[in-house]
Amino acid sequence: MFKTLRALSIKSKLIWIALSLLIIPWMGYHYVQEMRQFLLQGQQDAQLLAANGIATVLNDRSELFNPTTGVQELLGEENDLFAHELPNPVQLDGQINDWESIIDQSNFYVGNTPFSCEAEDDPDDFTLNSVIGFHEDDLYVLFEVNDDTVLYRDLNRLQLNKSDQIRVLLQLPNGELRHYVLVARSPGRMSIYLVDTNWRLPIKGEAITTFIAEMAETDWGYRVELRIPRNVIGTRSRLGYFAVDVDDPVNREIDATLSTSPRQKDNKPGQILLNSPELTKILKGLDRPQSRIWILDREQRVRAVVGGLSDQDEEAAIDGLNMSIFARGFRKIESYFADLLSRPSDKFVDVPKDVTSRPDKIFAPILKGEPMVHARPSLDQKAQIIVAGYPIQSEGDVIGAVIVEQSSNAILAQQYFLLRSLTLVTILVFAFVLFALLVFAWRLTARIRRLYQTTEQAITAEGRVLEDRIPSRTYPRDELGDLGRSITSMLTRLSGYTRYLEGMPDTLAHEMNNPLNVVSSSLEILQDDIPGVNQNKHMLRAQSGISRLRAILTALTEAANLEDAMRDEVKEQLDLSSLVSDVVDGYLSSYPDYTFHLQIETRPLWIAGSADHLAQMLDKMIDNAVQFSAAGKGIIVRVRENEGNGEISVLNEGPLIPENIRERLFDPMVSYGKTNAKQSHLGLGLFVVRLISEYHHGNAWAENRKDTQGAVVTVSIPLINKAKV
Amino acid sequence: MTRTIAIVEDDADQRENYADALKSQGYTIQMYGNRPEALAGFRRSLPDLAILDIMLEDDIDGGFDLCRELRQQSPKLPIIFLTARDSDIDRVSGLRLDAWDYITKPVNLQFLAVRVSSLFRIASAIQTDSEQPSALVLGDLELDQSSMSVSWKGQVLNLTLTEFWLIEALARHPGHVKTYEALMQTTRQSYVEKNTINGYVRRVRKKFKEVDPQFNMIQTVFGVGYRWQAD
Repeated sequence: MFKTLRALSIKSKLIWIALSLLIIPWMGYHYVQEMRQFLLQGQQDAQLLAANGIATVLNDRSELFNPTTGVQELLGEENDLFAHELPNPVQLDGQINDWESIIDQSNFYVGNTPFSCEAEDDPDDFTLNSVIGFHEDDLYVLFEVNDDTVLYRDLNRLQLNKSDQIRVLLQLPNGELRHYVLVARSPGRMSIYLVDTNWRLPIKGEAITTFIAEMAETDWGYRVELRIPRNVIGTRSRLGYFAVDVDDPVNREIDATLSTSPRQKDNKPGQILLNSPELTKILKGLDRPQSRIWILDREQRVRAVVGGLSDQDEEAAIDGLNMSIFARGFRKIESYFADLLSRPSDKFVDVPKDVTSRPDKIFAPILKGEPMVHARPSLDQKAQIIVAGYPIQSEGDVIGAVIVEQSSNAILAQQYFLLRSLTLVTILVFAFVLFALLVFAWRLTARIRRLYQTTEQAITAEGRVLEDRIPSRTYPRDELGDLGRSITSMLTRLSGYTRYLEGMPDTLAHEMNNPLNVVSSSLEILQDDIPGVNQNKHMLRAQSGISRLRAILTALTEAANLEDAMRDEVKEQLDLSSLVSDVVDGYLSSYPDYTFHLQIETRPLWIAGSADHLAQMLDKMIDNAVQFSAAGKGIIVRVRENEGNGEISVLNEGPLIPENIRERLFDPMVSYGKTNAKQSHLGLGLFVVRLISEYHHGNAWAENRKDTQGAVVTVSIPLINKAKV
Repeated sequence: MTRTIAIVEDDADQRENYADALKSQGYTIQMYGNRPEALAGFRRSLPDLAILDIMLEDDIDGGFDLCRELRQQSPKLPIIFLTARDSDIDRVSGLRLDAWDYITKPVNLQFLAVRVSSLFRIASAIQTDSEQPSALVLGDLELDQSSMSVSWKGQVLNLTLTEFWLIEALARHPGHVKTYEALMQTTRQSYVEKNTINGYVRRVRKKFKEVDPQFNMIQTVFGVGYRWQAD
């Protein structure tokens, strides 16, 4: 692991380090998560407190759980009828004045439903305005019917459905339905009959007297006041009524029917609920935005529901048509965010099918007297809803429960917006830091690479210093600049040392030349002064020693002189193959003891070079080959083209090159194998070969022959395109 | 009248040896070990020929300075640099100072004597100004043996003695190859290698090319030697 880390470039390392910045959003995310938990807890506590508060208000209000009381519009089904308390009993006299206190609560029926107002219905044609009131033990119903033609009952007809009438449908607690028809021959008391299910014929011939109804004509139709004793209806009965309009006095067919039931077909009677204004006031006061409060009785039947969980039409406004491209783009980004960060839905549905009872098991503990808090998903699974419940007590007994429901969407939305801004900020910061780091890394690595390259180029593989200065202007005063300067000073010292080393043979030769000159000139003078000393063997040996010393000194200075000489040489275009063949011709006479085999595989081989120096190079290669092969052996000189280079190889028969010095063979003063002690062999020949091949932008190498008979020294020089020159 | 030769050489042994060798040839020798001594001596009396080492004690270029001062006193004085310094730069600087020859150590004393006498002959030829018919004319090349001067297309080349001998050896037998061995003999130096000859030829060619960029009369015969191209 650490090995692979080490192998990374600085740039990748910096990027890895930059990635560690991702911890910040991670931390932020966790912080937001925790905050959410905290907020949710807070919301739960608040809801529980709210439930507690409501429960406290409702404690000891057992009328809340009286099945006949209720809160209008907050409770029950849409066809439920609410009875409003009247201050005084109603005189059934056809006058409106007794109803004034509750007339505002009346329901207006047009067509089939109380609230619909369709085009085909002419509101002036046939409408019903009705209100229910109660006083002590009686229930009163007022019907204000708008009818252009009031048609009274024709006594000659037995069927009761042939005149304007009010029908009352009563459902007893056991489910039995009773149909009552209220008809009149003239304004005044009405006849009330119990009729068959078709509303046509009376079951009993006599009119019922328990209900009393009074009818009076008005400017727009007629008015009916009905009184029903509450004990007739009972506590669990349901009630519905209809106004029937018959206009044609001849055939007396029914023209229209208005029902308290929203659906004409089922004609389902609704519950009569006695309105409790105090309770209504309390519960209305509880209505809070985006929260729903349930009041349950002991049987978990719903007594009241206040409020709703969601605002349905908030988003619609945003979906405007005139959004700019920017806004659209923003919306798109936002929708990505919403997907990524699970944005809570604003639109969720949580309306139970049955709102009459909440038999959820989770409410069980409340009814035992314990408060509870619970979180559940909404019915469409789009939101989370927190449910808090608190028991309502009366005289020590639990009589019901308050359930406060609120979606945690507000908090989740808060969290979502926090996360979104966190993400945005993180992305921006991250992008900026990454960019900065990348730029920094790029600059740093570029500088290091430049330093590396200049350092690499400053010194050759053999350790010769080409440049003793790294351009320092690009290196500011930082560590890297210091490194550059230190490399410069190192190179300067190294090049000084190299110069010293390179100059050493020259200096040495120069210094040795003077004493050598003394010795040789003295010997010469001796020869002149002492006759016969010429033949003295010691004199001869001394002279031979001196000539060997001279050869050594010449070889020592040759390389140094060569570099000087080549510096101002002008290269010319020449054919390497013919040059080699010319030179090898010369060797036939220079080395009569050896046989030369010239193999020219390709010709011509055009190169740019200095013929004299190339000849000198070849001399050295041949010298080297001759030195390491026995007399009489063959020396092969091969010339060929290889990958755009002209190659000269000299193959000899002799000792093999030891692998350990093969690389260094072209360095000065490196040699191998046994040589004639009388011959000087300083290992400078191949050094000269290398210098000359490098001067021609080529290179030189040595290897052993594949047939292991000897060694091969090869020089490779790039060819030129003759057409260019 | 014996001719006087001044030897300026900081190494006493070599100085004495040169002196001994030249004295045996009948020359009068003045010996100096450093530049101030030599300058003082030259003010008293000028020699007929001067042999100068370049490095004189701590004075790296003492010989060059001395040469310059001698030239001021006598423009026609034959001067030979005899030095261990063998670089092209030194050769060029020496010859630019109008030295007549530049010999590198170690030197063969016999050959030194030959050179000295040749230079005296040239000097006297210049003084007497007598045109001898020993001049060789070969196409554009004019070669005057007595004054040891060479002209190419009418322009005189500034050559050292060794270079003159080389051109002479090549031009005397146009078309014939002069081997390295033969050329080594002509330089009259004790120890000469092929590369030394190559260096001489390169310098000679350069001097010709200075007056005539098209010059290509000296041809290389690789591995053997050089020849002067026949017309």
